[in-house]
Amino acid sequence: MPPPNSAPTALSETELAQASATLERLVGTLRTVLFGQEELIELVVIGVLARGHLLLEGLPGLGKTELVKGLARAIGLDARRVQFTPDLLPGDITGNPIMQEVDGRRAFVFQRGPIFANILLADEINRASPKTQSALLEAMQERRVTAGGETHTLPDPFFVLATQNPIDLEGTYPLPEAQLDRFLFKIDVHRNSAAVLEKIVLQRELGTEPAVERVLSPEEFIGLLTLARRVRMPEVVANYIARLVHATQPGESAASAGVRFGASPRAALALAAAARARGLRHGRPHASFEDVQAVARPILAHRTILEHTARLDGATSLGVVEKLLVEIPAQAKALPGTLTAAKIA
Amino acid sequence: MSPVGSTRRFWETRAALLAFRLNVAAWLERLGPMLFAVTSLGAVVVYALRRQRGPVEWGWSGLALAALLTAIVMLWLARRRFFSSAEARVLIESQLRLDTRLTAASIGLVPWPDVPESLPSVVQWRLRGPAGWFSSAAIMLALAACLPVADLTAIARGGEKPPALAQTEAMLEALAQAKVAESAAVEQMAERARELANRPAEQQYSHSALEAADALRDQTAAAVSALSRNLEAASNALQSAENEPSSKAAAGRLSAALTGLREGALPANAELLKQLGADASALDKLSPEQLKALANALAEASQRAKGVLGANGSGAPVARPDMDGKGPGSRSGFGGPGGKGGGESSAPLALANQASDAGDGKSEAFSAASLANLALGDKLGTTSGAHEVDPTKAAGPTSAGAIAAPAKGGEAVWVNRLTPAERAALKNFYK
Repeated sequence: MPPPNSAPTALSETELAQASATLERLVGTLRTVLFGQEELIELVVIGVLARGHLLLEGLPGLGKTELVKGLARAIGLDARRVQFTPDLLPGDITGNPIMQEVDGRRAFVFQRGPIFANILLADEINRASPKTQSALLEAMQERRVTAGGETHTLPDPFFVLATQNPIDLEGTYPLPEAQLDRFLFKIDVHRNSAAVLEKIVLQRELGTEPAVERVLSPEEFIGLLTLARRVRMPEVVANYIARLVHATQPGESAASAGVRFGASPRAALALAAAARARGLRHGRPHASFEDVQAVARPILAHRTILEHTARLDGATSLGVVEKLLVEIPAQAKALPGTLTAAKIA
Repeated sequence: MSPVGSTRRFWETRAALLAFRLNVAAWLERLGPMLFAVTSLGAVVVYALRRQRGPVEWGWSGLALAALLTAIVMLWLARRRFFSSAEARVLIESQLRLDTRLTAASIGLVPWPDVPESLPSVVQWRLRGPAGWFSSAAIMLALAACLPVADLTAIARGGEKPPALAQTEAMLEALAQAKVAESAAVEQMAERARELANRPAEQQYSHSALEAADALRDQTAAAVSALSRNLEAASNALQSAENEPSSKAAAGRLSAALTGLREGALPANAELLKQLGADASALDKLSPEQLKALANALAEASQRAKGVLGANGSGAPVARPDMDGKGPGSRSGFGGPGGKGGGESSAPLALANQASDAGDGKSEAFSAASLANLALGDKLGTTSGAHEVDPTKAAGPTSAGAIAAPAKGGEAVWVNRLTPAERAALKNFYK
């Protein structure tokens, strides 16, 4: 597959308008599923447009699972849901070879697990044991499963949309950093305001799932994914992404004080893909600095590992990213000391 | 021009103007400190030229040239931080949050954005730093130009000699007229004074010339003073000899005075010496009347010599009597500096050019009879002592987690000790 910027033609206005309208319909549908979480919905849509795996973190009952199920139904893709528990085994997800009689002979036949779907909803992923969690590693990165010496390719597209509870609750296993790095976004789901709660009480009933219309056909959705890849990445924006990711490394910026491990090159690729997707979401044929800044927090925060001492001092990875966004300017050169950037409302 | 060309021209012009502004700012940032250093150095040179009556115009010209060169060099060094129009365009679109439309338009992806009704400035000057440097440089130049310089040559041109030299010349002139000293010795001193007076006008008030004039004045005054004392001593000895012809003490004083008159820095007049003879024994041949006449002549000569000391017009310093402060004041009216027990006469309270030494270089401890007599800084007394420490009772430092004391049955021996900072950090972690 050629690199995205080598696309022969830029997106036409017609393509952009159609994509923008379709995505607007998708977002509108998701807003009927989850109230008062516009930013979360935007990030989820951008994440799947960028072909990324998403991790939603928040307390139980905030609508994480509902959102993912609603997305699966709105897109019309094959979706499977797995409730992760401590006794879940890797084979329960990937599948197991089972002895069967085929043509009068007994042979091991691979029985596909729930991972063989376009969307795998890994509910409460941090409740599974590390062994089971690691079974997802190959699938998430390579988009294939190896079992019994055979490699099985997963359907295209393939997304893991996982939810997890905050790790300080009992009966959970924190996801290892290697696995966290494979998630494009880690999105914190915040609690609702009183006004949103009132709307939920009035329009929802306990135990009843909201009706979700199918907005897209799978082909249309795949078409959108292709368009997202054709969004141009200007060199100045690519340079900004590179400087931003590089600045997460210890000692490379003032904001990275207290950082033990910075973001990986995969983070830079994730930033570029998400910025392109956001550009398409806003009907632009190119990615912008604003796109990068909008997706930097959910991409960089969970990839920036802090020193224990910095955590004891109250520092957070999100705080580091916030400081980086202030410290690293869009332009490659720093302003002279005799000038300062004006604050423009 | 088409609207598209117009909008493109608008944004490109704005980017070029911003780039120019940024580059000027980068140049000023580098120029400020270096220009201050150059102008400070130049200001010192210009001021030195003004003091030395050198070619100040050359100094100013050199300073201007150095400033110009500095500006050029700083421009060259600052060029690495210069913004191109494309980089300035990025700054505009990021500050105005234009979604990178200017860059996208420049590569033909989207049309140029419409010209806004008003375009806010994306950068603001922060001129406190450069203004400080440039103001400091200007102050240095102003100081170099306006700081007053002493016009030594003007004083010299006005015919005013250094006061010490004038006093010396007055003393020597009076000495020559008094005819109490050997004329060759007087001429020798006058020759030294002429050497100083004949120096170039601009060197008359130099530090070395002033010191030399002061030294010559003091030497002359001391020599005249010694001559006067010796003449007076000789006169007194002759009067004693007249009253007690066989007094050996008088003969000794006369002999010492004669030695001083012949071998002093300023020998007495040859005629006077001839009257006094080769040694004290020659005076035995003189009659009492002759002795009295000679004593009067010496006393008169002594008075004339004293008059010479007053000829400088400002009370030239005289040689201080060699007294240890224990005895009474001298008969000449100059009291001793006093000391333990004090002198009989008080020290003169006259104004003089040079400070008088009130002490004799000796110090005496003060013992206080009562607290009422103590002054600030007086020592009441000293004593020595030591803390009473029982080393066997010291437990010594114990680190965190160490056993504080031997355990007894049923006691917990593990004691966690954390500093307040460590405790706060842990508390925060588990919050």
